[in-house]
Amino acid sequence: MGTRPRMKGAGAARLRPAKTPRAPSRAGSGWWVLAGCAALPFIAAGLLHDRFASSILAVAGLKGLFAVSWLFLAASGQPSLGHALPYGAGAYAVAFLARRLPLESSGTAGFTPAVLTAAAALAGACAGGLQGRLTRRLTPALIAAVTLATVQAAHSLATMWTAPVMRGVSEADTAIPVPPFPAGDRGAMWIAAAAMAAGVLCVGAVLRSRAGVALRTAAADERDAAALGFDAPRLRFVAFVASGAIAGIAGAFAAQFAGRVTPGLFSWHASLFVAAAAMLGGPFTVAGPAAAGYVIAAAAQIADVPAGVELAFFAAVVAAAAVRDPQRVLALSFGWNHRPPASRVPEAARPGTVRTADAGAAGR
Amino acid sequence: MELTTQLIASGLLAGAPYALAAWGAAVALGAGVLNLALGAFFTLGAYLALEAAARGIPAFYAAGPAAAAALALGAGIERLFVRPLRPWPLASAVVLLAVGVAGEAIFFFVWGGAERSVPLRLSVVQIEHVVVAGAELFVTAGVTLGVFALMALARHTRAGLAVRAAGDSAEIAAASGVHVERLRTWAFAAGCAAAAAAGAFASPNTPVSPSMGRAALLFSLAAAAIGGPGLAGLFAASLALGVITNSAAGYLAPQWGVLVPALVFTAAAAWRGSSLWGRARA
Repeated sequence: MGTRPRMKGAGAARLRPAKTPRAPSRAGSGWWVLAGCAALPFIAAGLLHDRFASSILAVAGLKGLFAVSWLFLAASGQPSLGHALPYGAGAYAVAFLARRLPLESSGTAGFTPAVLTAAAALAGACAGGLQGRLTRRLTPALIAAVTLATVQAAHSLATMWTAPVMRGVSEADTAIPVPPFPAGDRGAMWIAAAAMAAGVLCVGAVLRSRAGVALRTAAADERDAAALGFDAPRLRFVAFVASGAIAGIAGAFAAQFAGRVTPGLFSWHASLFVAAAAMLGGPFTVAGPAAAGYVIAAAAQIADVPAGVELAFFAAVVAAAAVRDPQRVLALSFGWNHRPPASRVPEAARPGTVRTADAGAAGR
Repeated sequence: MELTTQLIASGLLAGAPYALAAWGAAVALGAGVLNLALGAFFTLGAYLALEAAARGIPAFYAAGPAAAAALALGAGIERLFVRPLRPWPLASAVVLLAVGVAGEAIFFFVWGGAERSVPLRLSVVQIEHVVVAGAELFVTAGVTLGVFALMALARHTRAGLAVRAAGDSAEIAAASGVHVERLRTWAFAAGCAAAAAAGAFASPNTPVSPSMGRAALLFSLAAAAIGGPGLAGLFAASLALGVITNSAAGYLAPQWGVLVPALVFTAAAAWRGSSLWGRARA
């Protein structure tokens, strides 16, 4: 009759293809609507010449870029809670170069900001690579703890760089001035918007490519990845480097827009922000976390929410995600609508998964 | 030379209370949980010590009430959040981190964000050129006795045997009639209580602030990482880490007090990999 024969019972269950990690969805009409909604404030602020709105949108755009940079780690099954390290490393690379060379943004027709941003990407990639190297043999829980410790270490290091003193800013004794770029808030807003859009498109393209499939396969099962010809440890390291490079760029722009860097860039706040944005936006998509990061950052600035309250909110979001879907928290396949049945064998106890088998050992 | 001797003596005395917090981290790991809320319990103990000092009571007297409060809180947290998430170590660690952050927010709203100091009210003892506070000597002696008492309990009592059996194999322990879940709850709560007592003991040596527990968390994880699961190893690691941290902070900059434990924990975890926690037991 032209229809496929149906099997019932255990036979159907045996023939059912194994569940594989879902690929990030292609941008459907819903995401075009979302993109339009995100672009609307930028256009309105540009037309209205509102400096306040422009500065808020500039920061929000950068936060969106920062949030989307974390997705490589989620895709590769590495729940980093220390993504502030490459972000801050990028910003501090800008400050270091600007003070040592010394570089000025004016007089070189925009060449200097490009050099500084490239250096920040390199610094972010190195910081991410360091985290990847340190965590290459660790279980997911230990990856989270160790990456968090690297951020705390970097914060302590940053507070040792005390010259010159900037007055009138938070953490005044340790704020380092950076050549501001661009000159106006509107320019910053458009650069941030372009950076966020480029970040979303690049990360989305990579995650939908063969490299993205390899990352997700490496996250799901190392032996499957090896059977398919993928070098899982190398892929996980590359994921740290790539996400660190993008975070470094976001940090470089943040430093240049603000005209300073402070040790607060290396904070639990920034680290938990990306995780919360990914959980809220849905890491299964690429635009979702960027949009969530953008909205959270804009709302926090407009409402002038204290950093401590923001941190508690981010932590609550991540904790709620952990309670809701404990098997896939901080992973690309996390979903608010999914809850595994209580009888399901946890991933940590499933045979054949090298990293998660280690988690089982850790849980002994 | 005098400075070196002084720094070593101060480091030994400062590291001793952290052995309790390190035991709290290790005992949670023995139950398969990475307790990232430990710092909040440490801070709770420090703030209770601050309140005691403000009322004219020696700070370390607050260790008992702090431990009791932390025991009740820890048992509740374990029952509510940790036990349902036990098969997923990452999920339980993330939830405990959120609990720690929530604790920081509560401390901020109750006591404010400013750093405070707890005064030492007991006399100072001078041995040759080394000057130490009498309270620190008292606390170190108490912690040392406590560690030996715990070792004796673990080795020579039925409760200790049950804890060790549950750490080795929960299934076999359960088959032998040990109520493993209840044991894990009380082990987790005891770890939280130990961290709170450590916070009360260490409060005169460190500025008290809502986020002070982060450094204590790193210190305890680092000591647990290099000291291993045994109590003697934990105690020795805490003392060694106290000396290194104190010396680095004294010779270089105060920031090294946080930097050294963070680096030690990171290096130990990277070096030993996931086997770091494999042997952990209560």
